[in-house]
Amino acid sequence: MAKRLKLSLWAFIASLFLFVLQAAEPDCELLQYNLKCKVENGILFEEYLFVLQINNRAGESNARVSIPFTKSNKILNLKGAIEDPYGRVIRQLSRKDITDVSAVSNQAMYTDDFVRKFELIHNQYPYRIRYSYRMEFREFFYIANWIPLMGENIPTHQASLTIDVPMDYTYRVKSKDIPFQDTDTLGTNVRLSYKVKDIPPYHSEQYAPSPLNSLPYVIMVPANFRWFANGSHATWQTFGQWMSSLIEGADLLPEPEHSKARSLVNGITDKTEKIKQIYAYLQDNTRYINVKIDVGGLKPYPATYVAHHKYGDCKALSNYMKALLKAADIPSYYAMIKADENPVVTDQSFPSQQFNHVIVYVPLERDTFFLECTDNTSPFGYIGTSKQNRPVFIVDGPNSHFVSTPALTPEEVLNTRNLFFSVRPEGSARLDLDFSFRGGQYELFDAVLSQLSIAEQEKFIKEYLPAGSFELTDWKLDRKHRDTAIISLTATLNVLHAIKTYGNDISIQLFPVFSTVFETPEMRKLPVAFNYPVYTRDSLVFMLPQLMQKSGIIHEVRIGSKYGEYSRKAVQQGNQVVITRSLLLHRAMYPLNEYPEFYKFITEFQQADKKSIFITR
Amino acid sequence: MKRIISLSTVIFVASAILIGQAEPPQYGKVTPEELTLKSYIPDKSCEAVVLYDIGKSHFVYTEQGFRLVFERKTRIKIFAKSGFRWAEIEIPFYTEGNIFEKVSDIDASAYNLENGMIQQTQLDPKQVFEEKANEYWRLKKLAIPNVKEGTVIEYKYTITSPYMFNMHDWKFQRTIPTQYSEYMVKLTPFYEYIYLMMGQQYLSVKESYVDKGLNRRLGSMEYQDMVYRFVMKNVPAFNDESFITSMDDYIFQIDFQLSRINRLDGSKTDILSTWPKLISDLLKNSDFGSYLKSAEKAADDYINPHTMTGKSDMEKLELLVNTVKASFSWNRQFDYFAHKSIKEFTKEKTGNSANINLFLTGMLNAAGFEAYPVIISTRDHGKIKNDYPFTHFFNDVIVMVTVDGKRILTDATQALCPFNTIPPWCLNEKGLVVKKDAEDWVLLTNNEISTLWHCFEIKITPEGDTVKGDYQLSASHYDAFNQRKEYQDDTEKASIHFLEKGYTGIDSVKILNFEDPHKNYSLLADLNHLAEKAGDKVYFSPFMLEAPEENPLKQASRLYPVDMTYLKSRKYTSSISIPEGYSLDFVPADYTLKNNFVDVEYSTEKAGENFLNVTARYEFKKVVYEPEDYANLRFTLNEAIQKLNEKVVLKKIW
Repeated sequence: MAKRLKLSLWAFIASLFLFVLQAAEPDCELLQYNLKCKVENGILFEEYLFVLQINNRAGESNARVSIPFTKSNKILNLKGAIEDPYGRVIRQLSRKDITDVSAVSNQAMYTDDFVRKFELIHNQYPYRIRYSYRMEFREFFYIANWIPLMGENIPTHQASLTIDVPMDYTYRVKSKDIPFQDTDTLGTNVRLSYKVKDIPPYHSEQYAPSPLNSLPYVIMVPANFRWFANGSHATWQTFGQWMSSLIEGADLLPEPEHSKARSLVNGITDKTEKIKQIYAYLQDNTRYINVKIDVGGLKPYPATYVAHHKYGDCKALSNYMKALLKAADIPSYYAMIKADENPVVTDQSFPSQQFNHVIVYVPLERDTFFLECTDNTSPFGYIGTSKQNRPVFIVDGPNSHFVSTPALTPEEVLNTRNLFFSVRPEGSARLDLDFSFRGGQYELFDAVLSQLSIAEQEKFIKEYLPAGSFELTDWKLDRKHRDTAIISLTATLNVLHAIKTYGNDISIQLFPVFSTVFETPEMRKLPVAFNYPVYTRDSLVFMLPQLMQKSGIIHEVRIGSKYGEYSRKAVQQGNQVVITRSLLLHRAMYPLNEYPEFYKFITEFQQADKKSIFITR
Repeated sequence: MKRIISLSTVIFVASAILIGQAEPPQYGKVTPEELTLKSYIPDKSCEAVVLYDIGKSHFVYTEQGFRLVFERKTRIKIFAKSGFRWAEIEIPFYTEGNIFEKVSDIDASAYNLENGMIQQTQLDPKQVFEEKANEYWRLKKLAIPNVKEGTVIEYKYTITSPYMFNMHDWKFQRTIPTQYSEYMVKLTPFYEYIYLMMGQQYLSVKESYVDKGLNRRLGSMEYQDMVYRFVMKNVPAFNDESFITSMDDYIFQIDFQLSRINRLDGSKTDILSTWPKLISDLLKNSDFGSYLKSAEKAADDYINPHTMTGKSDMEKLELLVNTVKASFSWNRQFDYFAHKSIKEFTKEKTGNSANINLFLTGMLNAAGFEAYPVIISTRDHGKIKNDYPFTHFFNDVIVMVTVDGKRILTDATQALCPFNTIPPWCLNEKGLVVKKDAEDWVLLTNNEISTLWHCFEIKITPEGDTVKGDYQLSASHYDAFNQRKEYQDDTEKASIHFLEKGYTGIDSVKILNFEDPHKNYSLLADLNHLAEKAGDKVYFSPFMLEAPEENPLKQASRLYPVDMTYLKSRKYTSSISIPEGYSLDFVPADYTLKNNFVDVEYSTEKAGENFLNVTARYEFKKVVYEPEDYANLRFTLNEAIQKLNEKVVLKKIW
């Protein structure tokens, strides 16, 4: 049997491989992407040129262009045109085709950033679009942060970057997979040139590391910069000193708040308990609202702002939390992190602004806490999938340094699901279920619980529960304690078809334990990353109405490998069939050359999992 | 439910003011009871409740003439964290060049109980931000400070508008319950409005009276405002449902439209009085009527007389519609006004739906057809109420052309639609034919049944472990359109779709008739998946992995009709060859259920010793199902899905 399966799989792989080979031209191609950067008198000038070819209607979205800008960094000299495939101009972009609108982000309630929008759409394929513009920055962190790609599924044909800086200008530069052309001297300037050709397109894939970790880039930062205050990229300590100067004095609390913080911990001796009290106060009295103005991107609103409005973004709320702790004589630190479930790896060898989130770090003698200040319902000290297992930059003047958040363990992401079916003679059943969520599923249900109305929660649960025809008669989402990272879902359903009867036989099919469909080895381009483990344990009990004869183990499967373990077992005890199932996939990175073996394990257990369990009367 | 009344016909006579009407709550006077309120009794699970929402529109006379002033004050009690979103306020306002609406007197506060004392936290006026949403609309945005579970928030603002057209509409209902909602409109004799109301029967106050106090004066004329007041109490939350056209078709609301301007000198301008007048205005408009005329001239360049000779009218029509489809692309914007001039449009080759379809109308007329634009409302834009001639009902235009005495509707924005079919989002009751001196409505409904037909020829491997099938999906009408849009002629995308469904072998994927939208769209593939083997038995579905897994109707009951867009039929036929050495052990029972809603049929037939044929079909008999039919519809659909998922069992005999 295994042999046949292999054969058919290989036939399938071969056929798909053909598709890839025959794959029609991409919907859109980046023919040219040139960026010229120049630092002159402390001002950064950037000149962009893009030439894209739109090959069909599906590629048309790339002809709708949005360029972000701010009040102080305006777009200058914007030009655009539609061209035929030979580069002959069909039509120029006209002023009336351009509109500016406010940038809308789902993170910020308000930002004073804008987007300049225009469309260069034609109806004869293929056609080219060409646009260019200039920008100026008086304050900047990066001279260049250049990834010569446009987005998923778009190949790049030619790209070049030149950077002109004064001869005595100091900078730090790093690059990946982009050939360095040369260094020229032009009068009193130095020019660095990079050129790259024929970059294949990238695609998103299941459980792959963020593509940003593998794309080519050139990043150059000035050794010394000015952004609100003077700073230096020389070391993380100098960078930390600059960050410290941005938050200096921001942690002064207005008087009633100061006393409030002290009264919260009054009479408590245990430090952890003190921090808990203050954290609960923060959670119960503030909320996340992001208003991003000017340098709002990096400088927090002071604690007085949060004390009055009782809201703020991650920077303002973390700074406020730090201020409350300080009032209670507990030292803590403003801590920067790259928060993302599938993050770009922080490059610790290259001091620069690589973070997108701020939390509070509280080191105690025996314990260490990382406090998320933007989440009203996060359990005390909960780190979660988007912040686990990575470096955190602790801002502490000349003593700034990195520490690491711990990695999520299997027990911390374990989801258990208990289902009890009382099957009626015609095959329908009452189902009482009791799910307990941790890890990513906990975070999902935490959002459901804290952001959706009850009607929306019910809708969500109906969509969430495994497919099939059922009526949800009763349900409850519950968190036992504010500091427990577990949410339980208990529900009663009327399942219309719990079992199937074939003459004398009964079959039971389970919902899939892990339904992700992975790419075949021939299609796969990227390595595999499980940033944290996957762990599920299920128990399903079927009370059958008929009298059953057999008893004992009626089914057992175990599939294990270095990637994880799957098991399923069914035991019949009179009229009761008990099925237990478990899946553990380890936290790990697997290189691409190991993918066929990994894929074999995944498909093997997924196929086994799909099989019904048969019971003979 | 959707009765419509007109204000302009209401006579200026005071009606009795309701007696016993409680004083409206006073702004700024939040009560301890509101602060200690733990839940809202009629809807205990709501995250927040609107305690009151009071709006007033009236006219003030300024040096620049009349200004329309809208004032709102609102108080909301927040129970849960999920209700915090109600403390983030957006106030949209309109601007166009130097003429713009002005938002003023913004005030907002949060009220909390601190140690038994009411504590007010007022919004810092500096924390009101302005966002440019698009060319014409801006937003004032603010977040009320100090909001927690249990907080009462209150806010007010005023919008002063030079646009008499923009009389603020009023929604009595939100997605949280509303305890008290009032809208008062004070009208001068100079601007007359008519209104449309949804949920009229739930009004607890509906009154009109002549305003009290001193007479107002304009020039030599003395007058009193006419006051109209509408109140709804204890309005339940609106919960959005799937399979509806647009939330705006159902939510309780009132919408005012300017109908006439009366000037001091006695002259009058009817803004809208009749459908024929609306049509004649459209025909005079430069972005509609004039565009249409220039289109007729410009279209000549696109008509090739040689290709037209010897063709029937229908063939000519097809050719012309396809010419427009091939020459221009749609920029995904709906409108019945052309955004570009003919010159720009023919040069740039892209435009909105009016650019394209008005051009087509002109072209058809130039070629000797009798063609008219038809203005319509797309499904998500809500329904048209044809008792009142309002242009805002419409958002799109299509084309009606008469060929051989038959009316044909067409839309040249969709290359994947047959030339004589309009896309599914246009199927929204009726459209208005724009034809001088006439009021002619055309039904947009489509009575053809769209079919998805799944055909299988199935073989089981002798080992009994794999199900191999030659599969063909054939889609007709709107189902064909949807399939074309989804898979185009991309066999790779189709293969990935099969892979995701769980097939282990996918081969010879072919797509037929992508190019010709008149033909049924077909998707062919050789598919494999694993059979279920237990002991000496093999279990498999006659329809491989193509049967629907779940009923899309998930709610136990329903308040609004279920709208399926078009008539649908689903067919499954399978011919199974039984491998040597096996016999049939179990075959699903035949099943028939026919009622007024759905037909379900399932039957099996043995063909000789070695073949089993299984056919199944279910068909929706209506496009729209009323809420009272919902339970029955849902049950029938469950039965159909259950039958489709049944398995055949083979037994090894040697």
